[in-house]
Amino acid sequence: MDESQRFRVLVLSVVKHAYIPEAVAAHRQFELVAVADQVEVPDWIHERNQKFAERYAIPYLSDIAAAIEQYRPDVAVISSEAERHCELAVEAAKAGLHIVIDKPLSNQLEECDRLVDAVQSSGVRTLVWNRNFMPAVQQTLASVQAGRIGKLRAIHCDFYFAKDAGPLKGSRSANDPPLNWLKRQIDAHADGSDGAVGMHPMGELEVEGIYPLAYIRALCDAPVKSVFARTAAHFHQAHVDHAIDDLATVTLEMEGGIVGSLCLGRIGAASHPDLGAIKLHLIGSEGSLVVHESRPEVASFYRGQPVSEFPHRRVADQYEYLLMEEFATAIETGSETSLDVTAGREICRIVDACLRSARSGGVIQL
Amino acid sequence: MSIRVAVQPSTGQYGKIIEMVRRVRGLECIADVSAADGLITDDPAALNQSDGRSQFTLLLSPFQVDEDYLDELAASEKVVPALQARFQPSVHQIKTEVDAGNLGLPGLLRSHDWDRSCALDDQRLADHLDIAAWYFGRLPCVVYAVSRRDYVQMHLGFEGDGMAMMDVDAGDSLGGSYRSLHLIGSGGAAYADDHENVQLAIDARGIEAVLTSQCDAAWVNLLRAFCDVIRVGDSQQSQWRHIMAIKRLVGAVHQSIAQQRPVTLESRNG
Repeated sequence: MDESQRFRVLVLSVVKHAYIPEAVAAHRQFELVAVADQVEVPDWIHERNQKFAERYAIPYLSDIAAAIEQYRPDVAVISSEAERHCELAVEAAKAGLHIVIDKPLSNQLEECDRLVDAVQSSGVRTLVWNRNFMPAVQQTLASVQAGRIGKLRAIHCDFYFAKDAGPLKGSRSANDPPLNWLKRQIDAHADGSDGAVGMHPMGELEVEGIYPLAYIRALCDAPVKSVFARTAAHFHQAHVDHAIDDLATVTLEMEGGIVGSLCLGRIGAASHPDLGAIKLHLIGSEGSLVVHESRPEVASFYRGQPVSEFPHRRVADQYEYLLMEEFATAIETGSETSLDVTAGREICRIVDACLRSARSGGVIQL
Repeated sequence: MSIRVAVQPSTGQYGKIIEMVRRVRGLECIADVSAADGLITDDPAALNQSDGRSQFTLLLSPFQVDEDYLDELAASEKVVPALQARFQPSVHQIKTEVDAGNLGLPGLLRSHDWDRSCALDDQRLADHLDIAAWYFGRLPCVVYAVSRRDYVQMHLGFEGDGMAMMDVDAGDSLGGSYRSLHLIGSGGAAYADDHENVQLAIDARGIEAVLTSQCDAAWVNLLRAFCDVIRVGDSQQSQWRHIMAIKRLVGAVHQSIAQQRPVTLESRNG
C-alpha cells in the first residue's frame, strides 16, 4: 500500500500551459481540488479556467481567498500570464501553499524579489517549471558530475523552437496596424502553439531563456559574471511590431573562467522537421560532450502524414514525473528543488542583463 | 586540353596536393614551373620569383601574408588567394542553399570547430570570419570575443538582424576533431554537424562513434575552382581586398579580447 503523503492542489489560473497542472495531476501524490483566479481578470481567462476545471470535474472559483478557505490546499500551481505569476504566487506563499510556477518567473525583477521574500518568510517549497529532467540532460549532468570531461571550460546551448508565431516578417503591408499581441497569443494558444500569452509583449529570451539557462546553471554550477547579447526580430511580424526578439545570441562568462554561449530563437516551422534543434556542447579539461536534448526519439514517416506532425517523437521522457517527484520530496523533507524561485529569479536577472546588453551594445557585468 | 599546374616543392602537404591534382579531370601536374599554366604555393616569397611570368598562382594560407604585401597582391592580376575553408563540402553546400534563396535572409550562424591538430592561429580565426562574411554577404559591424588557453569564442553582429557565434578549441583534451555549423535564415535553416555524421563501432570494450569524414573533397573543390580561374582568366583581384578586411577583423577579435569589450566596425559588403 502506498503510504506516501498526498497533497491537495489548487490551480491558480491555467491560461498558458495546461500541461503543468496536468503533470501535477498525473503524479500519485497530488490531487487537483479546485481552480481559482482573480475575479477582475477578463472573460477569456475565466473561460479557460472554467474549461480546465470541467475537464477535471473540479470547481472553479473566481475568488482565490475563498478557494483556499474552502478547499484547504497544500500546493498552488500557477500558469497565468507571465505578468501575474508573481502576484498569484505571493498570495499563495502568504497562505502557506507550496508553489509550482510556470516560466518565466516574471517579466519584472522587482516582482521576482517580492516573491522570493514572500517564499523565504513563509518557508514553503517552490518549483519553477523547467526541462532539466529530460533524459539527455540528466545523462549529461551525470557525466559532468562523474568527472568524465574533467573541469568544465566551456558550455554552449542551442535552443530553437521551429514554430511559427503569426504572420512572417514583412508579409503585411506597410500601412497595416501593429498586430495585437494578446489577441495573437490567444489565437496561437488555441491552435496548440504555446507562447507568451499576456498583455505585455515578451521576446523569446524572456519567454524561453529560462530553459537553456537552467541547463547551463545545472551543468556549470558557477554564477554568471557577465553577458554580451545580440537580439533581433528576424522571423515574425508580431515581434517586429512590438520591438521584441525572436532570435538571440548571448556570450556568457562564468566564475572560474568558464565561457558559455546561448543561441535561441523561434525560428519558424520551415527551419526544422521537428520541434527544433536543442543541443548542448560542453568542453572540459579531459574531454567534451555533444548532446541532443531530444534523444531518445523514434522517427515515423507515413503516407498522408500531416505537415504539422513531428516525424521524430521523443520517447522515454519522464521529466514531468521526475519534476513532481522532486517537488513532493522537497515538501516532505524540506529539501531544495532543482529550480526554486531564488534560482528562477537569478535566471530572470541574467535575461534582464542580456536584454540590456542587446539594447546598449555593451557587456553587462552581473 | 589539360591545364598544367606545378606545385612548389617547399609547399606544405606537397604530396597531398599532387595526389589531389590527379583527381581533377582536366588538370595535370608537372614539375617544370616555367612550363606550367598555374603554380600552387604557400610561400608569398615565391610570388616575387614568378614576376614577369604569365601563369596564375594559387596562394595557400593567404591570411598569413603580411599586411604590407597585401596591397601589392591586390594590384596583381595573377595571384589567387586560396580560401580553403569555403571549399569544405558541407560549408559549400550551405552557401549553395543561401545563394539559391532557400534559407531566406541569413539570421544566425553558429559554428564549433574543435581540433587540436590545427594551430589556433590567425589563419584559423580568419577562416571562420571569412565564412561568416561569405554567408552574410557583408562584413560584421560588431565583434565581441573572449579567449582562454587554446580557446577563442567570437560573437559577431551584422548590420540589420544578422549574428554569428563561433568557437574554436585546440585544447589538449581533444582526441579527435569535431565540427558543427548551422545557418538559420528567415525562410529555413541548414545544419552541417559531425554529430549527425558518425557511425558506431561496437566491440567488447564498448561503443565508439566514428566520424565519416569529408575526406579530401575540399582540396578537389579548391583545385577545380583554380582550374576554372585559369580557364576563364579571372584574376579575382577583389578577393585580396576581402582578405585585407578579414585580417582587420582578426585584429578586431584580438582587440576585443584584450580590451574585454565589443569592437564596433564599419560595416561593408563582404
